Amino acid sequence: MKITVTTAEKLNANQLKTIKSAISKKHPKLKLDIHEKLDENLIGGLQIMIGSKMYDASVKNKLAEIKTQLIKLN
Amino acid sequence: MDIQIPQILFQIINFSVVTGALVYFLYKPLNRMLDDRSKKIEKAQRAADETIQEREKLETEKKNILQRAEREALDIIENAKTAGKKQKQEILEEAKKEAEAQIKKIGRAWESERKSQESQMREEFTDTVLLVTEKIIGKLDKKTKSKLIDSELKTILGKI
Repeated sequence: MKITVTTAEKLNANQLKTIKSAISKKHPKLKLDIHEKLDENLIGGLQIMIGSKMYDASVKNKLAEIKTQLIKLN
Repeated sequence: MDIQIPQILFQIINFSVVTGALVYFLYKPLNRMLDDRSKKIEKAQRAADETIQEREKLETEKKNILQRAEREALDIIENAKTAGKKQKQEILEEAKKEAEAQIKKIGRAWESERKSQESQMREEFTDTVLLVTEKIIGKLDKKTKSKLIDSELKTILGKI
């Protein structure tokens, strides 16, 4: 399974290990193919794409959510 | 002096004839003329009375007509005043309604404009705050950014 981890700063070894370990526990029978990607636009945090599913915990996404919430308050 | 009977008789007959002639030729025509005159005067008097009565009748009728005309004129004036007051009231009511509608319309436009400006300002403020936040986070040191990744990683891995 292709997994893409996108961050604004390069992940350290411990963080990569934690990711691999956690996904292996969830999908023990699958062979994991992890790709790292750098994107400064994310500002901080990270995005993990597992197959076709995206988990977005980037600062960019959080700021966008905050903006949406603030506009909704109007 | 001798009384001569024939002479006296002649005088009596003569007097009677003269008297009869006078009565016949003078008194009767005069009397008839006086009667005619009297009748003419009476007729003229009746005509005058009738004329006076007619005149009085006409005067009364004229007075009645004038009174009626005056009443009608007053009624017309009164009706015109009432109609004028009613029209004035209607115009005022209409103007008041129009003014109220305009005030409401302007109020709604102001409210809409205020909300629009408020929304725009809020959006601009939000954009500014987020931009500043973005800049601040962007300038964080590597260690802090790494901690941020650790924190978010826990959140993501909890959802997988």
